[in-house]
Amino acid sequence: MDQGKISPWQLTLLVMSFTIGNWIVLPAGTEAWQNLWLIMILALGEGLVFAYLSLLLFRRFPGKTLFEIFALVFGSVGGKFLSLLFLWFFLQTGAAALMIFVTLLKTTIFTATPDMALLVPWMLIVIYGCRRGIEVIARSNEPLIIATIVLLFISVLLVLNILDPANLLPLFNLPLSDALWISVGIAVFPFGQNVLFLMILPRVNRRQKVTGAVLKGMIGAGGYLLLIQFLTVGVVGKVGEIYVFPSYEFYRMIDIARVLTRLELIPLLNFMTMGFIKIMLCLYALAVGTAQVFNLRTYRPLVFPLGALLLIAAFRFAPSISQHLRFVEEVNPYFGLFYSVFLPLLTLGVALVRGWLRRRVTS
Amino acid sequence: MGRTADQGGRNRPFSKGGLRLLMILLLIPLLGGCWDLRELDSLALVFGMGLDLGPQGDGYRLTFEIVRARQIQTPGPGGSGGGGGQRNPYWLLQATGPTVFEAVRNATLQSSRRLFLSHTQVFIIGEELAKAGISPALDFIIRDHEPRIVKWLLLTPDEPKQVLAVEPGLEQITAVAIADLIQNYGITSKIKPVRVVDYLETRMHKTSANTLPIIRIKETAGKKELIIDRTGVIKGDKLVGYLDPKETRGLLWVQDEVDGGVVTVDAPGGEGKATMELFNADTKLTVEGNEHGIQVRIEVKVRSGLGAQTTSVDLSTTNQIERLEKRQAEVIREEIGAALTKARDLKADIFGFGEYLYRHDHRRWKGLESEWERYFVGAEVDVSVEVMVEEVGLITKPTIYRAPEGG
Amino acid sequence: MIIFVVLVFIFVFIYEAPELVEKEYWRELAVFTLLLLLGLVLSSLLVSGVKLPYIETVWIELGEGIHRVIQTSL
Repeated sequence: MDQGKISPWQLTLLVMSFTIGNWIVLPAGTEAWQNLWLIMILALGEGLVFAYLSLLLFRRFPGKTLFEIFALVFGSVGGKFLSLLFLWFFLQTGAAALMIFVTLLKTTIFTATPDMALLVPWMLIVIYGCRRGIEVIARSNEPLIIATIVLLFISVLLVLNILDPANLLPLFNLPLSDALWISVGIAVFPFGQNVLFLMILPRVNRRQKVTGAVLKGMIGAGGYLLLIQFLTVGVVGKVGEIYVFPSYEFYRMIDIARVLTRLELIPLLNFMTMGFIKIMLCLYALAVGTAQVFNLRTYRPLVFPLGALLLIAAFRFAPSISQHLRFVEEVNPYFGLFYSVFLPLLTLGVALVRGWLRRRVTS
Repeated sequence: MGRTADQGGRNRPFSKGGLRLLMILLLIPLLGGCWDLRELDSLALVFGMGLDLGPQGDGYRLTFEIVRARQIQTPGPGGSGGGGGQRNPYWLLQATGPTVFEAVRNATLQSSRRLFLSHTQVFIIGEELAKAGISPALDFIIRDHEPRIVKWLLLTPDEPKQVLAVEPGLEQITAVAIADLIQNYGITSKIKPVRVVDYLETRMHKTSANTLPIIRIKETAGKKELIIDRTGVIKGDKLVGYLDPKETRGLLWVQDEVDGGVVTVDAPGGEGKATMELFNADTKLTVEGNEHGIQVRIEVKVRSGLGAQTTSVDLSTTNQIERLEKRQAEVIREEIGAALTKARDLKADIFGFGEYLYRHDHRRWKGLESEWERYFVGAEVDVSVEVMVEEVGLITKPTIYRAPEGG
Repeated sequence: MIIFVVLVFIFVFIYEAPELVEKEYWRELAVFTLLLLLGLVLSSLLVSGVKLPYIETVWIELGEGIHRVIQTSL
């Protein structure tokens, strides 16, 4: 299989890009609007807990990918079944991200372009990057995520003259149950999706640092998204509640001395790079996972056909963006909880029980 | 595995170089970005847009002020630009349609170029349309990605087409002139500048009423000029009333949007006037509520200076300055009072008292929300104005001649 | 249009298959071909206008059912 190695730092950066991914374009939980950044702090906490549980799994089975762990814990058949479930998860996550980015491009710039003209080149690049291996993906990611972070700092400066703190009030006008539900939704998307990394962790060259690296990446990404949400609410105000892409609108409103205007293209390009990384990682996990399910020696020839499937899935993902928003609000929390919390917890539980049982037998 | 691909394709049907060449050749047409191609000279740049009701009273009639780029004169050695046979630097186009969007598209039935709306500086809505409801007209402007919502929104009692047809005084394009006019609001602070997004923001607060500047055509000696001297009050999306310049400034006082301007007072100790220039103004607004109603506190702090006087009395003494301060505060209080009265008449919360309560005491707002009009009209308002005159200009005693007594 | 899609898939096959054959990676070749065929079939269907079901719609209907059950039981 892929013998490439990545460093813990590269892992952190990958986690950050992945988490920022398509959330930055289409956040979940915008119903809470001005309360969202607070809820995100809670969601980050929840997400970190979920991640830690999954990381415990890796600690118990060092050097094994998720699917290998499934095989060890649930046996060959059970393991394959769970692996198939997760393959679907990777496919769906990647397809959702791809659909969102293409929709963003279509709504803002390429209004007349047919979907395929955007999807195909995008996937070609993703497939190309994926085939090169995780090392290449990680190395390509380094400058991209750095650029994204720098953009954030510049954005803070750019909006100082149009940020109105009054827009950030009122706080706490949501019933607690709503806020909790939304926080779970965010803990799952985007934070929970990091369960995908369990397929990649074996590639890290310093195993002890893995847990720290992943958690640091999530905290970094969480902080980034939180800040963007904070700025968006402050600048755009209550109107942002009706926007499909709030952070895009936020950048449209920047106007410094009537000279620095129309800057929205830069964050647009930048967010797209985050999308690329996320989708590449999804395809990578999909390909490596499929190879493991069939006990193959290499994953590379699978990248193209799986990429084509990903493209098809993205093309027929949702009939409209409002349908997708509904999905994110109502269905995705359950979906994500199942994959990010329930299954890893189940695996951990069964593994512990089996280990305990084995010790009892041998004692 | 990641490395072997680099060693060329011994076992592949295409050589490594050949495949790369093929890929490059395939990508080049895509990179041209031709699908959504928009060449600059196939676009009609719309700088100003007027909206009004359609000819039969339904639908919309739009007016577009389109720039003729070639006719834009740069100040040349020959003095003011434009000889006899020159064309206007702008072109006015009208189109109608059941929705704003369709009207925009219908415009290309008359235009050789596709209308491009990203440069639209001003959106002018006719009062007829404003009385029927503004939001349906705005939907396209917000929803479509071309128009930018940080641009100005205005009303006009005249036909939007006539407004955009007025020859701009200093600028080349009327729309630009109007935009600049609004941006200079701080010179008098008697105009309320409103961008589309500001209108929307206020609209989304259930208890607030909107205000929009009104521009109209003024004819002096046969020549047409544009002037903004009133503000329209929009309640629940329809135009319901007006504020004159004094009331408009009262509104701006309360909203902490006074950015300059002058206040003329009766000169103390003599006949004549003194005009004070406003350097700095800060307003602190607090709204509190209980079950019976709301209490509003407005605290205004102003720093100003003596700009001009028509009396011969020396106003630079401490005594006089104090009196100037008091009179100025009086005038400001009057302006605020006038705005409050008008707002109460119209039962429109144009100041954002509700908005304040919504933000700072949400539960209270929720309780009072359903009968907000009543609470707004019955609000106890306490206004305090503090003026500090900091300077008197370059001279102290005026040079105005005072006729000797009994001469 | 379908011809174009078919050509693309054939191209990919030609690109990858020989190397797998030479290495005698039969399993890999099998899975590869299988997935490729799946992709080919689905793409051809798409291109010829068949309305494949929307992924989210399936989930939403499932999810709504679960959502309702949980809401009522709380």
